Order: sequence, then structure tokens, then C-alpha cells
Amino acid sequence: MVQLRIALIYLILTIPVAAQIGPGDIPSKVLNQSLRTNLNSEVVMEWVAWLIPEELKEELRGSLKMKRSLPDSLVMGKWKLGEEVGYVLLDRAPSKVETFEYALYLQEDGSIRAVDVLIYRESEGGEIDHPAFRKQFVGKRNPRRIIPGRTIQAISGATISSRSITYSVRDLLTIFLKLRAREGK
Amino acid sequence: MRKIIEWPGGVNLLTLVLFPLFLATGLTQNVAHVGGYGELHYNKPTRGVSREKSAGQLDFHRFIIYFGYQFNNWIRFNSEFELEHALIESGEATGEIALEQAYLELRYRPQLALRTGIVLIPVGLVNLYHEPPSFHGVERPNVEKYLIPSTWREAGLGLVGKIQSRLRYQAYLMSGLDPDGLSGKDGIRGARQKAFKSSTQDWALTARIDYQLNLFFSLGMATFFSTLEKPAEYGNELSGAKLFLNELHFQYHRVGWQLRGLLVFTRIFQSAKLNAFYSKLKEAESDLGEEQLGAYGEVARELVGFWNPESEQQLFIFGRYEFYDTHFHTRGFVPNPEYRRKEFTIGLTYLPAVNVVLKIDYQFLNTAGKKSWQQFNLGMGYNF
Repeated sequence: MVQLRIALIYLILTIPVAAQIGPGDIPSKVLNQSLRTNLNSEVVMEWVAWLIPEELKEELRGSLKMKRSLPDSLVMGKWKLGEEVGYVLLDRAPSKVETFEYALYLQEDGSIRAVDVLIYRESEGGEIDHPAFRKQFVGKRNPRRIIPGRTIQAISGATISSRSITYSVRDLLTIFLKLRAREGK
Repeated sequence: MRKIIEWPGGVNLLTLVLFPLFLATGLTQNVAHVGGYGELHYNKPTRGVSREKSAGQLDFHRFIIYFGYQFNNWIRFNSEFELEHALIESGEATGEIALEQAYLELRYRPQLALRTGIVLIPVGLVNLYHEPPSFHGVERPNVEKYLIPSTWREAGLGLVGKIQSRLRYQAYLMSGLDPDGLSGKDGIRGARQKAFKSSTQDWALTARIDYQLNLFFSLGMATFFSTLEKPAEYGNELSGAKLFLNELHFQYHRVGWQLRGLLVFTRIFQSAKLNAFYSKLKEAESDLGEEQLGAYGEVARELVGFWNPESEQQLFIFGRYEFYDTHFHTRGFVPNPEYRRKEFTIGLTYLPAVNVVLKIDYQFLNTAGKKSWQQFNLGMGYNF
């Protein structure tokens, strides 16, 4: 029984938490396709990382819905398209038993321009890729108003993944906005 | 002293030491996945049953662990390991340990993946999505217990995929139903082989498509076909016996509202031949119906949103009407009215957090015959 307990504790400690990711975690073909579709092929990208200070991590912890740990820095792509500028953040979130990757496109003012599912592995729940589902995020700028089942309707057949991506987007936007307000960027 | 099931020594070592280490290594590398779900039920018949049967019952109905492993970016293994009714004791009629799913999936592209192993028969709403937070009511709908015997799985081989995230399909070739287990009352429930040394004297084919019309509405259909001949055992005694099951379903989810419904029709060819054969073989009257029909509709309304639109908690009030008849049409004898059932369930589903659920409901279980009863149910469930 002791062995079993040790094994269980070890398991609980090592269960993967959905972490934020960078461009190196996504095949360049997939990422470029997403950038082309959601911005345009002329887009100028610059990848940057903002450090997340420990005290901000503490402050954020209580308000996050999906993420159980915070990275030391937030990786994001600053995009420039003519006069328009904005950000793209890549993230990983859990589906029923696996994880998937998506991109969150933000305008300069922090409102959501698009959400794009980049890699979805599981056979069930892939419906979150449906344009009608992803369109619901567009224009949202207050993370507290991103609520699964209310402001973001779950798509049938993908209840778990719908909730997961909704809360992940909410968390990511929360982190981004707090960090930006702090940095005065 | 009663003995809990014994594991062979090798399995013991593997389970306790090597397996968790292997799993932990996989988990840290993000290639192995664990999860699970479970549900505890309290059932208490309130009216229409004899005193002996009126006792309430607390049952940890299902405890399931998922385990998945990703070999590379296109080959993965998924499984569900189940303990039903909490306890297995050697030599006693108790719960069961079962592999609910265990398959390899080779995903060549989103539109096409090959799946082989123990898979769920892709029929109905609950059979594929049976985690407790995903359906209303403590018990699964009875139409999806008797006419579609969830959790229904067999070993086989097939293709799955999606086309432009709107259209999804699954199609499998698998071991067939065992006609020995067919019954007039429970239909095909007892005929599942569950990949336990499944005989391939009979084969089954099954397929499903689902179409997502827009954000709110999806509809789909499924079909299942199996021969029921057992030629290796019974020669040509049952030649021509086969079963066709067809099913239609829809779901409509719109902020605050959830509607869903299902219609299923099963036809057994050569039912008279099967009845004559099994009456002789089992020395008891076999009363297999030729046709079975079942349907249900369910409406649920979310309530927390009325007073706290920012809350992630959800409280649904729901009602479900079910009709099913395992003797919808019989050949050569009069249908048993007790098998023609009309049931109404009303209750509450409370989700204090994502994937945690507490349920309460009341069921009016009526037959066209004499037996009708009512039942009160409480349940808790989770999924992670």
C-alpha cells in the first residue's frame, strides 16, 4: 500500500498542466497557415517574451480557471500588418484525455481578433474547430465575460474541449492584460 | 475470510512499481495521459413495488480510469478500464472489471484514421459520451440501456474521421452479437460479447455520421448490422437470422437550453426460427420480438444564469420522456404488454464546477401491462 501511495502522489505531481507554448512547439507549416488565414501573408512577425514576476504570479493564481501553473514568461508574436498591430499567443489546453494547441490573436487594444485551433489530436471534441464556435470569441476584451456555456456556447459533441478552450483563452487574456498593464506596454 | 480478487505476482509488481514509473515518465514528456470518471448512485423505489424490493440502494456504479499513450504525432493508444459496482469477490455474483475501450489509432490525416482494438459501437447519444456530467439524470436513459445497450463495445477494426469539422464519421467491422443472449425483455443487451473471447461465427458492421449544422444544432444517424447464425455451433439451424438496428439523433444547445432526442428501430430477421430453436435448446419459452422501437426526448433549462450570469456553476432542471417496446412487433405470439414501457423522468442536475456533478431525479416507470413503479434517485459523478 505504501508503494501504491507513493506511486499515486508521484502521479498527481507529474500530471501535465497545460502550459503556454512558443512558436517552436508548433510545426512551422501549421503556424504559417494559421498566420496567413487569420492575418495575411504580408504580415511582419516579431516573437518576444515578457517575464512574469513572482508577485504577479501570486496575484494571478486566484483568477485563473484552467491553468494550474504559470510559465516564467509569456511568449507572444507581435504582428504588424500595414498600420495595424497586434499580438498572437500560442497555447496548449487539455481535451478529454489529451491536449491540443491553439492560437489567440489579439488586436492592439487587447480585444480578440480570432481564435484558431492549430493541432487537435483526439478523435472526439474536434468540433471546436468549427468557425461558428470560434467566431464567438471575436471582439471580446474582458476576460470575466468569457464564460463557457453562457457567453461562449459549447458546441455539441465537444463539451469538454469547448469549456477547456474557453477557460484557456480567458486565462491567457487575463495574463496578457495584467502583464501589459504592469509593463505599461 | 472473504478473498478479494487475487492478482498474479508479476502483475502486482508491474502495477505498483513499474507501471507508475513508466506512466510518470510518459506524463512528464506529455505523451501519456491519465483521466477517469465515476458515479455513485442512490436508487429508492417509492411506489408500485413489493416491500422486499422497496429498499434503497447505494451503489458506486462505475469507476473508470483512462489511460492513453502517444507513440508519435499520429499513432496513439487509448483505453478505459472499468470497475463496476465497486467490488469484485472471487466466486460471487458481484461487480465486474472490464476493458471498456482499448484501441490503437493511426491518424493519417484528420479525414482518415484507422482504429483497431476494443471500440465503442458508434450508436446513440450516451454510448459514445457517457461521462456523468455529460447527461442528465442519475441513470442513463433506459432506451440507451435496453435498445442501445450502453456501454456497448466490441473488438474490431474501422475508420474514423472528420471532414471540415462539420461532418464526422465512424465505420467498423467487428465481432457480431451472440444470439444466445437475446431476450424478449432486454432485447440485445445480453447478446453483447464485450470482446471476451468473442466468437467470430457472426460478424457485425456498424457506421455512423454526424453533421454539425451550425453552432447550436447537430444531427446524426447510425446503423448496426449483425448476423445471428452461429454456424460453427448450430450448423444451418439459424441460417438467415440477422439483426438490423437503425438510429437517428439530434442535439440542440443554445445558451441556457439543451434539447436532445433519439429514435431507434431494430428488426430481427427469422425471429420465429430463433424462438423455436432457443425454446427447444433452453427448454424454456423464448419470446424474442421481431421488432423493437424506442425513442426519447429531453429538455433542460439552466437556472443559475438568471441570477448570476458570470457564474461558472450550472443548475439544470430537466424532463425526459422515453418510450420503448422490445415487443413492438412479434411473430407467432402476442406481444407482452409489460415490455411496452413509457417512462418520465424529472430532476435537477447541478454542476458546481466543470466536470463535477450532483444529480437528483424522480422517475415514473410505466408499462402497458400491470407493473408500474416510481423511483427516486440521487447521484454524484465526476470526470477528469
